[in-house]
Amino acid sequence: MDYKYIEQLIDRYFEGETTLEEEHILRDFFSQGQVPQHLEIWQPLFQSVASLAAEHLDEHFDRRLLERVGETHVTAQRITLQRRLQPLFKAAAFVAFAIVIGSAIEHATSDTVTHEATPTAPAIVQDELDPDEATPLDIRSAEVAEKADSVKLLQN
Amino acid sequence: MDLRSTILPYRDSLYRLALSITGHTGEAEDIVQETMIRAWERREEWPMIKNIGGWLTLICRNLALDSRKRSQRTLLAATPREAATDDATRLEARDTLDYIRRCAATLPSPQDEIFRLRDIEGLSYRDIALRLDISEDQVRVYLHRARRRLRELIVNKS
Repeated sequence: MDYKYIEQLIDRYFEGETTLEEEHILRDFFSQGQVPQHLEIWQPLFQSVASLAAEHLDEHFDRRLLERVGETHVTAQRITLQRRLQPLFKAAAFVAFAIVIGSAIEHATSDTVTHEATPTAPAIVQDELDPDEATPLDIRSAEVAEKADSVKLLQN
Repeated sequence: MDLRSTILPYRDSLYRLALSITGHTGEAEDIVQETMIRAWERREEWPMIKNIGGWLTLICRNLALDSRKRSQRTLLAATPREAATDDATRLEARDTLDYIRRCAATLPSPQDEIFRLRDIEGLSYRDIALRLDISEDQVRVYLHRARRRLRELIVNKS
């Protein structure tokens, strides 16, 4: 195998003429297992450079440091889907509540208007009945008429 | 300017510097932590510091060199058997790191720093020049001298 390119790179490296990319190629070359005997002399240098360049602190370092300097360590919070949709649920609940209240008010208003406009039959019947003179049958008829009126209102 | 955005990004670079000087991961981590705490204690000075990276490097380097001196004294004070065991364990565990540590230790300043920034940290000539407040040409010259010195060292050893 021809190692001319690597040999040229080594020469240029020691002359300080290599690019970062070429230096990376050299480190990769010497990190592999098989290096020709005449180039083995340079292997410890490039291997040790690659080894040191890969060293870094672990993730606990930041937390320990921030604890020591008294800052709170902010970690990313896991947000569940339910929690993410919570504002949407709240909005939906509010809209449903508003609809219920709105329709209740509407019903109450229309009920008052109906009562004022057309007095119902049971009311007349009740007005005409004298409690002292009314028979149980009369009272029962008045109750039935009142219930019929309520059903009618609900249907409206 | 807070700790996370101003000085914490330099932690790994400082760690490798401390490791290249002490050759011991635990010591290197302690040194970086001490560097960060010292920098934090002087945080009111940060806006006036032109080159935070260079300033942190200086603190870290001094702490690492002090630590190495202390370790050497401890090693000398230990019994020959203890010293030999400790030394052998270190060499065995960190053989490749020790190699680069020994090589870099032979380089005068600022060649050692430029060699480290280029070969270990992978910085461009421009970034090194900015970090050390020198020209790019000076960076090239110092790097050339550093590598030539390393080549002589390696060839003479073999």
